[in-house]
Amino acid sequence: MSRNEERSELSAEERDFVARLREGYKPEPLSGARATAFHARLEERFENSRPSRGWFPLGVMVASCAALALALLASPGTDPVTRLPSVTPPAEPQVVASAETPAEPAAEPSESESSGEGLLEYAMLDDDMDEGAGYLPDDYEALTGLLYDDGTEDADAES
Amino acid sequence: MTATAQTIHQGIQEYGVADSLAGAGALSDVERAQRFGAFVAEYRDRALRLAWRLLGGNDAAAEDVVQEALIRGFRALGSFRGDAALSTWFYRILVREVRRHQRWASVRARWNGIATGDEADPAPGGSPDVLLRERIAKAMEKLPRGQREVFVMVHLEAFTVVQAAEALGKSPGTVKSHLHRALVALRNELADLREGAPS
Repeated sequence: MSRNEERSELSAEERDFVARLREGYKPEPLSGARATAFHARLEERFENSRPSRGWFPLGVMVASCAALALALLASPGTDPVTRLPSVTPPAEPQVVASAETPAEPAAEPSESESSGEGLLEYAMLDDDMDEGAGYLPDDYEALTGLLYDDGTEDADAES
Repeated sequence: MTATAQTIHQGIQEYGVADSLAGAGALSDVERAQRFGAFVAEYRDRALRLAWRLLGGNDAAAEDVVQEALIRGFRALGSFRGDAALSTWFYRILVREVRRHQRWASVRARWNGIATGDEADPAPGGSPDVLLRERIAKAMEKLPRGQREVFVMVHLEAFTVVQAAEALGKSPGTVKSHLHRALVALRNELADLREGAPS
């Protein structure tokens, strides 16, 4: 599909309306002091993003957890399983079938998500970027796995 | 793929992703910085414009999101195998960062008990240009996220439907549907901007 084909789907009046939005809704060009500040901050973040630095604290944390787990398991006469707090299994989720088009994911947390835990759960939700997973080239799949390994891949609930 | 992007891509492939990520191999700090500079030069301006439009006209938020996307994109460049356009691949990262920013901004606002959303940077005075920009930003804000994203990408940033579909992880049919609905909604919301309407 060429860009001309897409634009031809708009009437002349619609194209004019879109052009007004394009001109009226654009940022000031990045120049002068703003550009300098942008690049200084970017360079700083780039240097701080080096994985060799970032992985060190994670490695320490993993090693600490492993050592703790080993210590627990190695304790004589104890059953590590019984140390665990009892966990009430969550209630079965109620699945309500609906013929209506599913609503778009909420842009903000609901009232019930306003507690600390609810907010955190909301913030960690993955978005709906992978609705077309089967459609996308392999590069996108690799990207998702590499950058965003939080594992939740919600289906696109948009209409 | 543009010549610059191809050069960067080939360079990273040549040295391997592990070296480029850790900086421990053949890539010196200088080479790594130079390649990152070329990567930034390739995408900065359009990425800033796209992020700004998706974030309701917030300069600071757009700059923050673009910086994060540039760094993530450069770090992940070694995994790019060339079976998709590098630019579309990068903009997919950018859109994800925009969404991530919006989600955390919403959580922070809720936690602090204040209004949610990214507010446009306050502009000095109330010139017609600024007022128009604010009106359009508010109309965009009212659109569902999916509609807003495809409208900005296709109609304001001149992505093709297929490019937008790949960057957003949607089918082209969904993108076209969103485009139509967004246009109808904006024409209603900003009716006075239509041709022939009294200004």
